Amino acid sequence: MPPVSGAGATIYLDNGATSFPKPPAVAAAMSRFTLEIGGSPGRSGHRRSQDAARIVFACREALAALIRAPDSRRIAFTLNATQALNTALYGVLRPGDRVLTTAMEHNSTMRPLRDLERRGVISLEVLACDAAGRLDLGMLARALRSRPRLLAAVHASNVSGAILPLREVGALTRAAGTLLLIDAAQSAGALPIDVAADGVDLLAFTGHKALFGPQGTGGLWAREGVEPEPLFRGGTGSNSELEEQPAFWPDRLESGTPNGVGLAGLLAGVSFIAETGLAAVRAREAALTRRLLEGLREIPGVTVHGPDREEERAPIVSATFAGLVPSEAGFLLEEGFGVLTRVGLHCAPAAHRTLGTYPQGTVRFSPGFFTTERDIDAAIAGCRYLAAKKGGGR
Amino acid sequence: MSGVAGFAVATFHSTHAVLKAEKILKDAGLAGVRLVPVPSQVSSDCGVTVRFAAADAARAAELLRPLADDLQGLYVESSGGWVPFP
Repeated sequence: MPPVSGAGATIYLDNGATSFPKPPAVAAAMSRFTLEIGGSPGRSGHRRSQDAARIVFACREALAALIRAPDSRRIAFTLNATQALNTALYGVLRPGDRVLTTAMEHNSTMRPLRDLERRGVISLEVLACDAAGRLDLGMLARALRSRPRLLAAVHASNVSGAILPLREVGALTRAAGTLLLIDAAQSAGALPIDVAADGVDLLAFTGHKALFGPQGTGGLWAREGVEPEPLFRGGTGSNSELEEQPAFWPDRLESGTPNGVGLAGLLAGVSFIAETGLAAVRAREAALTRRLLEGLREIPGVTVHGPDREEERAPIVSATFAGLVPSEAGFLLEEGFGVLTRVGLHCAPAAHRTLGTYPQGTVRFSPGFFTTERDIDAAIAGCRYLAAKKGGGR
Repeated sequence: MSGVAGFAVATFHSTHAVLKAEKILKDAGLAGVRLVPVPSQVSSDCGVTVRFAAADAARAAELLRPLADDLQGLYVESSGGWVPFP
């Protein structure tokens, strides 16, 4: 194995990229799957295969409970949110469709949409957001008057943390007969989601961020009646006598051996959230976000982007430093203080144009459930040192 | 399994539905519920099916009604083969 360079004291504030650490049960479940179970889920009749299938089944049921999906069959597992979003967009949109999206989208939504637009399949309207990354509901309501086929919107921005008022948006799209595709990459596991009450038609999520699962897990939920065509087809362990892809869920969207070991870990992650309580997770992360916001705002020369209050944010805070480009600030925070952040455009150029931070981007701090107050304070102290040095120390 | 009288199986399109059925039948207190390979006489599928006592077939049919979309068939053992139930 390549050597581990993360040894030593680090302060991990990059949970928006992937959560770390995971609850200990996650690695334990993956180890157990590898060492003791080892079968291919749903492929063979023997006990190892059955045990593996039960883990995948339990993971689906646990996720359905978390997002209040009435039928767990309607969750298809994917590699990540990107694959889920691509399945939703390429699988649902048809020639001539008019599509709305927002100016806060990640490239996992924007690139498929721009590709479909470039190839003449869809026409695309991008709704502007305010400088904090918030969508104006009046503007949305006006855009929905022409009854576009679909709105693709991010639930919580990976750049500004801004939270979409999901229930209000869902009420508007439902009234217009427009499908609502939600990118829940940052929000699943961090914010309450009730797909039925919120009026969501399709929900894409990743397993390795707020759900505490390992990388290589994610999924797409769609309500009954919304039937995306699969991105690819193959063996499902079902209807083996047929050479056509099955139409039923989840098999229609799940070809090939699933990521059993990953889903074992994801099940442990989702179970951790269920045991802790989503409200407790949210309260903890919001408190850390508030501490971070307050600390950074006090520093002369530091600009905090995004909504003012932590209630309006996922646990994500983007900041810029006067006289210091984000890449240098991020490097110095790691070198001097062991603070790990993510700098640049965060795969979301549209969002940075909205915030006015394009093209250099921001330094993004994203605490997680296991972040401590000391971590936050150390990061703030590091920022204060850098800002002071740049502001007048030279 | 052949030669052992008195079993019934419910077959489903997907592994997910089989596991849901297993849970429903176990939660309802049916005895001897377990997953077995799909009998080759019933289907050439490569997956599993849920097996229980033939005496419980009528009750199982009722309990599995919510899974009607996914249910392929319910069979009871009869002289070494499987016949549709009822």
